[in-house]
Amino acid sequence: MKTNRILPAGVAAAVAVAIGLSVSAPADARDVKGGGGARNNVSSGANRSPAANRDAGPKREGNANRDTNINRNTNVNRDTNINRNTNVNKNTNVNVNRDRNVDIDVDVNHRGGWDNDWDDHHHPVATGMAIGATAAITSAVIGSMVYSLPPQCQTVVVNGIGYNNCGGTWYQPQYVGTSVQYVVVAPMQ
Amino acid sequence: MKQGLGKIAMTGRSARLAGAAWAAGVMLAVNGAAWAQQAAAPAPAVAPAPATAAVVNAKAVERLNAMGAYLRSLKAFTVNADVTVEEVLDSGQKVENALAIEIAARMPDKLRVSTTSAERSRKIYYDGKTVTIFGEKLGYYGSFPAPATIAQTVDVAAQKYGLEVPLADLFLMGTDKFDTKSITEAIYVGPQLIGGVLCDQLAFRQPGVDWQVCIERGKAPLPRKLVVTGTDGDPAQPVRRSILTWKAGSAPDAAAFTFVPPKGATRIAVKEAAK
Repeated sequence: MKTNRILPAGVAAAVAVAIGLSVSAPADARDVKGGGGARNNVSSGANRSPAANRDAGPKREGNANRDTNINRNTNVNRDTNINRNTNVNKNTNVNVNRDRNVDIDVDVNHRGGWDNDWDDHHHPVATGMAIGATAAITSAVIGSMVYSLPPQCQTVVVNGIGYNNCGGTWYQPQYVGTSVQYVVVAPMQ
Repeated sequence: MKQGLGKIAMTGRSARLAGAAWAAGVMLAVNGAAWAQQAAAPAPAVAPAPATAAVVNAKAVERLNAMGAYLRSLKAFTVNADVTVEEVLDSGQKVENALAIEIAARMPDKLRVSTTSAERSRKIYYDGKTVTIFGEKLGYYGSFPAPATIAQTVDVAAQKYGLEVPLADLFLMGTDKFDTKSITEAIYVGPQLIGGVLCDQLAFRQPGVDWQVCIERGKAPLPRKLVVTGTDGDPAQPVRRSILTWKAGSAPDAAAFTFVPPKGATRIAVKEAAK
């Protein structure tokens, strides 16, 4: 029960008393859950929620790119739009398009890459593993992959398949699972 | 989304075969007569026994198989899933992402899946010949040739193209692609109400996956809730939870499963998964 409580126990109890609730409510819940031998299997499961394991994640630390856009803007922008521009440079190639008519920047860096659709071809980007973030025109090596395109691209259909011409650098968008990635290709024209 | 779609059935894993004989042995030793097979034992006055003894409640497996058989008996269905996907932040805090999935199917060879979240939407069409994935906002679609049935197509999509059809287990349960022999633990959690529907919650463990399903009581044993926890990946074990709402027997007409590119949509390539 404790781990599921958002308020600290003491506060919750005080609130419950203050609004005239009986503190026996948790006991009722326990009655419901308690009966039956088979149930014990559930609550005694060793896999329950070992918080101790949580920080040990080798996987999480293995992603070398991940730290690049952590904590962007944190809470600084949250209450006002006025300062937003001053922080843009901090984010370099990430997060610029992430604001969607709201004054809260998304702070979560979705791990492992994530193309979202919101800004169509200019969608913001999380880090990729072997995959770069938003394309920088100067570093477009043929065969390299990005999750989003630079601005000002033109869609061109060649042999029935779509390509993007972004200022002379050509990308081939492709589905990889449900994600769209963009591969730099040799100019098509 | 790299969390994976939380499919339970594992295809082409050696763990499946290795687990089979052992799991079968355990099951033979179990009396399947009662749900609560430990209830007969005197209640332990002290700490519960260490969690080393694996329990396979044969009744739970039986219910699972009955659900699979019922799913396979449906000629058509539409199911809506309210899905919550946990994500583990670098700080260790878990946060949740929400998405909605709608699956419409006509057996054996028509499938349409829509996944919608605030930031990304995709539709998958399978008309018996071709699979098309479409991102409406991007205006991109890509296709590949598909085999003759939904179950085969789900496999090919995952293995050849890295395209995991959400809730693909719904099409694999009750077939030999859903290998209940690899289940190492099976317990009955208890009755639950999911969206007002009374169901029995079962919990299973198998190599790499802990999962739970709440199966509706009565003549239509449908899965009402599915909870999948990967146990061999992120040690924080993020959970994927789906609440399912069914229209059993009902699906759109066959024509609705063929993708017709809207005006302005662009065909793009579909990458084959690395071998």
